[in-house]
Amino acid sequence: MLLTQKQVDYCMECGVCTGSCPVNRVSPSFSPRQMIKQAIMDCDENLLARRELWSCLACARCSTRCPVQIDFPEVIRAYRGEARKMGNRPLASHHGVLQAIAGLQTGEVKQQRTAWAQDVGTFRSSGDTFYFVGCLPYFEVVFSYLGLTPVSTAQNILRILNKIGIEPVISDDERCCGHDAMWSGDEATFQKLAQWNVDTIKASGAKRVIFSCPEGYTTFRKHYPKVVGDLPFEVLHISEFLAQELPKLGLTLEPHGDGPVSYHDPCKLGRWAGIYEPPRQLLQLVPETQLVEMPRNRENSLCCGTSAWMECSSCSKAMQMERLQEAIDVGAQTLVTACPKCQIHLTCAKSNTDLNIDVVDLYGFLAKSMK
Amino acid sequence: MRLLGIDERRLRLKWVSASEGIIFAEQVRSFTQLLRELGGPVIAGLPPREAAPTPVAAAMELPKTASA
Repeated sequence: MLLTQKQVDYCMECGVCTGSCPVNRVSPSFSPRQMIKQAIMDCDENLLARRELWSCLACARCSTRCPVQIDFPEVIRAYRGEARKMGNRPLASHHGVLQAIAGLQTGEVKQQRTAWAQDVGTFRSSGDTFYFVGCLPYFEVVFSYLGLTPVSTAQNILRILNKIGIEPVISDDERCCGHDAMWSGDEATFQKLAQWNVDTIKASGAKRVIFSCPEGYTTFRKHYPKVVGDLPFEVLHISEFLAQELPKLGLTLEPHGDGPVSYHDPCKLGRWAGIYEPPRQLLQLVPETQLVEMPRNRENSLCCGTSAWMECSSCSKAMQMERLQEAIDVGAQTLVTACPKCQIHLTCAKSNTDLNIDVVDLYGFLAKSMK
Repeated sequence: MRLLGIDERRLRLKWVSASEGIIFAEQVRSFTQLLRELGGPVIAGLPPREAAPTPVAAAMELPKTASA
């Protein structure tokens, strides 16, 4: 059994996990409480063969509400590793191209992943501050069909950092952070990627690493220490960093006239990292921003419906549509998010509807008023 | 491929009609020749490929002795 004795002893079957689960609302066959109970009562083989093992989004709504702190996403993660060994594997979205890209990065690749920065701003190959760009250059290729330009997020961040007087390190040797491999039960790929990244950052001499992707940030902060030991550098999320640094600059930001704006908390930035206010503070730096909150905000935020590029389903789409409608219902004309994947998923859901709302990223929103 | 630093000549896409046997043979010959010259491995240090995901097999009851 992969549950710890403590977890087994403490579960009182109150069902708060299942009641909180956004997947369960759409697909009642997925029930965290039932799965915990099955793990306790049955032999693990039954659980390991189930398709539902791949439905959890690791959104952490259950674990943050559990009265006895059972970390259901971590339990699921452990089972996924075992299930994969038995041949129970997830259905990859986008024909598995993102899993292939991550897998290839465990080898000795000579990537060209900094090309986006060439004519945009100043960066270095060694220095105090490392900007971990994450998958954005790959997303630029894979998701151009949605009309998205994911590298513009990185470009805007580089411009903003330069304005603050920071010339960050960005590196061709950076690898995928391994978040998706880890959540797909592919521990071997995750460990290799983690080691590559820590070695690359160490070699750059950086003392702090700034992330724009919430998943990369949380993976470094929570999961890297378990496989590579204590990190020899500080990790920071850019929204926290900018919320501190930008107001000091005394920049004059220009209003957009974009109408009411709502903010979608990404799971990995909100519930996982506890960063709720800095992105909102950044939005309000733009004059005349009318921030409207959706009923499900901050720790109650709804997940964007898919995780780790797998198992995209009618459940994912239902959640995404629900979220877009929620933003429209509170009068938002723009939905801002701080996660490239939330932006991709919500844009995809919106693409074949006539819903009238823009899904934009936080840094694009800021950069637009920093001309 | 460019992002991953893989030589783009390793991918070739040509449209050859069923009636153009000579062109087809020439394409295959020159492409395999080129790949031989470029040598391998394309990316060093990769683990052997896992078997392709089989969602259908996973959807069925898995035999308890199965191992990957």
